[in-house]
Formats: sequence, structure tokens, C-alpha cells
Amino acid sequence: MFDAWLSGLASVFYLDTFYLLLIGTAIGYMIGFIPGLAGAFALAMLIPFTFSMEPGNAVVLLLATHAVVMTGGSYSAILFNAPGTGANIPASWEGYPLTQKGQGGRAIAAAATSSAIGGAISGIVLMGLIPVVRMILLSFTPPEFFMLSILAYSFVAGLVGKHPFRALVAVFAGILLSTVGIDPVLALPRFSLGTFYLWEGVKLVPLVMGMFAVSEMIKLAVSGQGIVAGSVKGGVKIGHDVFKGVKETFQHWFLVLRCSGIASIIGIIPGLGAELATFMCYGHALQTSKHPEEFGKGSIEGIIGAEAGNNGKEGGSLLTTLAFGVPGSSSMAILLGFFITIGIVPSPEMLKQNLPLVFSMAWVIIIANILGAAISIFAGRYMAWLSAVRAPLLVSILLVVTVIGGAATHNNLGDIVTTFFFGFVGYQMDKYGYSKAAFIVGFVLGKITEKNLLLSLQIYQGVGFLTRPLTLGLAAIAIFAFAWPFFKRYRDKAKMRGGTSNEI
Amino acid sequence: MKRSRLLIIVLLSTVLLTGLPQKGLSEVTKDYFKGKTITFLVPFNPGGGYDTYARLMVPYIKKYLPVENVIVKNEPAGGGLAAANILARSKPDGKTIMILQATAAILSELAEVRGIRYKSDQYTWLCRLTSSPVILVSSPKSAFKTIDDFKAAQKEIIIAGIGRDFSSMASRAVFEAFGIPYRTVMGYEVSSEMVLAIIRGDADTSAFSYESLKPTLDAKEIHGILMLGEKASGVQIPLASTEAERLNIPDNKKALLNSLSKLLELYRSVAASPGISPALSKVMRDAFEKAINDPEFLSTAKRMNKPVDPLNGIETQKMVQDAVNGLRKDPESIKMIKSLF
Repeated sequence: MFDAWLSGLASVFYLDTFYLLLIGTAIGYMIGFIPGLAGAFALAMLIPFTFSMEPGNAVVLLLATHAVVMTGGSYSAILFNAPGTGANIPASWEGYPLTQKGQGGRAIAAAATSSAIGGAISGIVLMGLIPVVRMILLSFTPPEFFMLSILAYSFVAGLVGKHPFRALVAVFAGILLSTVGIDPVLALPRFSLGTFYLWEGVKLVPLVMGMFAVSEMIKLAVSGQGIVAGSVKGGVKIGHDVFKGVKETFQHWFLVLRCSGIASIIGIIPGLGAELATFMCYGHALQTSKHPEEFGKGSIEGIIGAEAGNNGKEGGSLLTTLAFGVPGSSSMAILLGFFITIGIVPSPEMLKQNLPLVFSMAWVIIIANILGAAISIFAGRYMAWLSAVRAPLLVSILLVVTVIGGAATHNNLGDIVTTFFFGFVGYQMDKYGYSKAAFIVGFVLGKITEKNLLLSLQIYQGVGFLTRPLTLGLAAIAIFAFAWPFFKRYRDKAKMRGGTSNEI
Repeated sequence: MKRSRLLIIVLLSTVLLTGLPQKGLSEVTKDYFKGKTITFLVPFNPGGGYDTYARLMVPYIKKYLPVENVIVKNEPAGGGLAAANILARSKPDGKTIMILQATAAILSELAEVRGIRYKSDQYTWLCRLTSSPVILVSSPKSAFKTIDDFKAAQKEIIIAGIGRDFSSMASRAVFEAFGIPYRTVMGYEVSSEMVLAIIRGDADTSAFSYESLKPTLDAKEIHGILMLGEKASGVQIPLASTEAERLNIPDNKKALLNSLSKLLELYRSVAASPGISPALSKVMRDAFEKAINDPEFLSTAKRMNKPVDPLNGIETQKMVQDAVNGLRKDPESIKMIKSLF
């Protein structure tokens, strides 16, 4: 097995292969960076080019592209409050405030480093979990998926802010919005307002762009302010805190490890999505943080956790795709289609017989992640000056780019209408204190929750599924996770009242 | 004649002459497509089987039709419904074509599914790419090895489905025909999820295209119970029609199975807008016939594990027509099809 590992590594360093790895990394990063362009889009565009390539080289190109999409996405999330993908939303929540305080370089470096480490760990997971992947995959069924999504809600319960009840309303509003689209069971359109566009539901990236970026612009316009508070004046060396960001990620190494682990498991299970992995890791970082009050205002731990999460899921995702042909996401579906066309037909036997190939895929992921992080860090030093540019100008440019990006891929007005409509909604939500973060969490998790709840109810013809041991275990963790913030607050209050003289 | 009057006559004649159609309908030549762009609609997301077939065809369409460009456009909205409707109302100028899951499209239309605005037999069918038998499967770990096992089961058989998808519809058609009680579990998003569910035991069965399931069958991860469609060489799975004879199922139900099998012969086909002139249709069909029989296309497709079973446009059109007419004359079958949706 060791020689497979080594030969897998060696095969990546052939000149033409490595060259494609570099190109793929660059393309994936750029696509991730631009909100509105999804990784799946990049892959679909690249596939025709691969017809004339050596299959092995084509795999390298596609995997490298796919591996760094989240890394690129974190860059725009942090600097411009415009997450490149849904999984970069927490990075924008925590990174943008840091950018506004002039610490953009630090945030980017932390995101890049944790992405790289998360991605690298996922590559190792890909190599190491081959023997147990089948067992994991067959043990997790819809009841467990349902409970995992409940777990995710519980993890992010700490984001409620000052008005817990309004946050609850926001979560449910988000879940309600997620039901727009086609009913999973009856295949009838819901809330489609008579259009075909809404058959697929509200799209996440325009929603987030609108709710966060456009609402900011509306706020600025209404308040008459020209410069966003905290944008850096000339003379401050932005980008020099880049090294600090890297160092902090290593200081939080255990958090990175835990989040990569959580994300890997979620990655193995198909259909849960990068957003679920990211939010769970973000929520986990929140729950285990010694400074939870920083979350929402610029917590470096939030960035580290979330970004380790979204890159950390990739290895597991690829493993399931290769072992069972079950793609966990649309990017994986494209890769799967591609693998079949070059004769790599997923099955556990295929994995065992092609260890060097699988290992070289893992190495591509690891190396591409490291390269992607390097792009972020070096570009961070030079590009962080962008954050000193007046935010309204930047946001407007970015909105134009998003609109064009959305129009290029989907070619319809719907994305644009979504963006501006939810810009308005986001502005109102801020005005009345309804947590936008909670809304987004509800929206993102709503589909997974509903789908798996409905499947569970059908399979078990009722709520009997709740008695499954694994489900019960996850439910216990969820209850604990829900209760923990309240328990901690109660305990802290008691400590304060009790006075420090009682402290041991 | 006064100069101004002459001028007016000359001007009017120029306007009239240039306003007239440049070519008579019967004068469509291959140069018709010069400088034009064809939009190739794919009713599924990029990367899937249909998308790959479409992209594979692009260079060969360009080889035999002097188009400027062929652009693949993914339009998965409504499970392909939107794309089918778009094709139905597109201009008959040959610039819009689509790859279809023809079996499902025709069945949905006959079942009068809500939102359908197309008529399959009115499309200008250009060619058939593949026919594909569909297999009903079960988990090798389960007790179900033949259709008799399903019949003998004491409880309802669980069929996995996506929503209004072909897999569950075909399964239910078979079960209705053989008189086996069932219930469905709907909500999966892709076929592979359903296969996993069957392997795990969450569901007992569903139906999938043979070509896409062949690797899983070969790996003995899944067991084939029944095959709908024409017999594929070297395959041990019993045919639905044979089992129907053996088990003496009533004639009207046999007719439904037969219609379904016939429709599967159209599985993946390419069609163009309705109402295209005979001359233009001929130009397009000839080009497509050459494209899908091009040896390089066939060998590339084979290399990429995408089988091709080419049939030219005229015969494909006839097949669609016959299927639709045949089923329309059989209200009982239509009733059964409607109930399946």
C-alpha cells in the first residue's frame, strides 16, 4: 500500500500533469471567487476540453479545479462580503467585519490556511477510509440525515443575537422559503408563482448577495454615508497581518482537526451538501469557542472552523462517489459522469484495484488546496488594498459581476430579481432586528430536513424511525447542543453572582 | 414620365423586391445554416448522461451541417418540462433542437401532466440515439429473486422514486400489470440514491435503464428481476413480456407493458421544433443521420461508455407517431398511464 501511496504522489509531478494541476487550481479559484458562478459550472465547461486529453491528465485538471472553489469563494466573502458560494457564507459573516477593521489580510490568511489544512486532511481521509466507507455509507439512512440536519440547527442556535424569539421566526421563515420549488414527493410545484424559474427554488447565491450586500448598500444610501465605517485610511500597511492569520490557524490546530473530521463524515454521506458541513463546523466553532461574543462581529475562530469545514468535506465526497457512484453534489455528479466515460466505474472493487489512481487523486486535492491557499495569502498581501476602496463602489462592481455571472450561467432575470428583492427584505430585517443569519441557516438546511423527514416517514410509515439507535444518539447530541448555550449562560451568570471569592 | 414619378416607381419596386422572400421554401439548401447558431437544449443538468451525449454530438453536427456554432443549453427546470415546452413554441427555423428522454416525454403528454404545452408527435424528430431496456431490480440480500417472489410476498413491496420520475412509474406499471400490491417512497433526488436505498433495504425495488446500471449489476451489488424492452444479448434477466405470458396476465395489462416496451426504443432521441418545412427537415435529418453514423463519433462514444443505436429521423418520427396513435386509440391504457402519474 505504501508504494501505491508513493506512486500516486509521483504521478502528480509529471510535467504535463503538474501543469494541468496549476491551471485547474487557477480556474477553480477564479470561479469560486466570482459569486454566481458555481464550481459545477466550471467543471461542465471544462468537460468538452477533456475529450481530447489523456484521461489521467483530465482527472487532474478537473479535480484541481474542483478542490479550490471554496478557497476562492472565501476570498470574495471576506474582502467584499460577497460569498463566492453558499459554503462561504460564514466566512463573510466573520471575515467582512474583520476587513472593515483593517484586518482583511489576517482573515484571508486564516481562511486560506484552514482551507488548505482541511482540504489536505480530506485527502488523507480519502486514502485512509477506503476500507470503512461502505460501512459508514450503509449505516446512515434518511432518519440519520434528518437528525444530522437538526443537529446543524442546534449548533448554530448560538447565533441568535439579542432577540431569540425573532431569530426563531427568522429560521422558520427561511425554512418556509426553502419549500419554494418542486415538492419532493408529489413532484408538484410549490409557490412557483406560475413561473418555471421558481420550480428549482430560490437560488442561494443571489439570495445571499441580496440579503447581505444589497441591503448594506440600501442602508448606506439611506443613511447618506459615503464611507463604510472602519475602512482603512492610507498609511496603514494592510496585509502585514497575513502571517498573524496563518499563525492563529495553527494555534487553533485542534479546532481545525475537529472541523475537518466532522466535515469528512458529512462529505462521505451523499446529499448533505457543503453548506451543511460548513454551518455545522461554524456552529461547532461557536460552541467550543472561549470568545463566543465575537461571533458575528469578526471571530477568527468562526472563519477557521467554517473554512476547514467546506474544504474538509471534499475527500469524503470523492470517496463516496468513487466507491458507490453516488454523487454528493452537482460537482460530484459531473465528475462521476466524467469518470464513467473514461472507464472508471465506481465500485469498492474498482477502488481496491486502482489504489495508485485513487491516491493520486487524493494528492491532487491536497496539493491544489495548498496552492489555492498560497494564492489567497500572496494575493492577500497585494489585494487587501481593495478593502480600502470605498465599499459602496466595490459592492456595486461586485453586484454587476454577480448579475453578469448569474445571467451567463442561467440566462434569466430571476436571479437579478431575487437579489434585489431580498436586498429589500434584508434591509427591513436589519431594521427590525430579525437575524439574517438565522434566516439563511433555515433556508439552507430546510430542504435537507424536509426531504429526509419525508423519506423517513414514508419508509417507516410513521415516526418509528426515531427509535433507531444511531438516530437516538444524534438526537441526544442535538438536545445537548441546543441546551448548552443556555446552560453556559446560566452558569456564567451564577458565577458572576456568586463572586470570585468562591473560585478555586 | 416625370422624373419624380420614375424615382417613386424605382424606389417602390426596390422595396417590394427586397421585401419578397429571398428563397422559395423548396429552395432550402445546405448553405441555409451558414453563419447561424443552433441551440441544443438539454433538459438535465450538465455532466449527466444526456448532457454528455449532446456535447459528444456537437462536433459531428458541425461536420455535416455548415453551422457557425452549436451551443448546448442546459434547461433542467421542471424536470425537463420547461425545455420541452420551449422546443414546442420555438420558431421552425431549424435553430432549436433538443435531446429528449422520449419515453418519459411521450408518457407525460399522454397522461396530461399539468404544465405540458407540447405534442410529441408534432416535433420534427431528427434521430434516435439509444434505446435502452429498463430493469426492475432488487437487493441481492433480499428474498426477492424473481417476479414470483414479489407476487408471493405477504406485505406491500416498497418502490423507490424521485417524484414524477420514470423509474417509479415504470415499476408501478409492471406491478399493476402483474397485480402485485405496492407502496412508494418518493423524494430521492438521483437514481444512485435510490440504488443505495435498495441496497440498504430502505426500499425493495425500482426500475433503471440497463445501460446505466450494468456496472452495478456486474459487481453483483444489485440483482435484476425483470427487463422491459427488447432483449439485450448476453443478459440473463427475464423479459417482462415472457413473464407476462408465463403468468397469464390479462390482455389489456399485457398491452400496456408492450406499449411501454415499444416506447423504450425511443429512449434518447433528438428532435427539432414543430412545423419545420419538409425541405429543411430533409436537410437536417440527412445531416444528423450522417453524424450519428460517423465512425469516429461511434468509436468515441463507445470509448466513453455511451452506447449508440442510431436510427434516422424519418423512422424515428414514424415510431413516435405509431406509438402515440396506438396509445391514443386505447383508452384503457391511457387511463392506466394517467393513474401512474
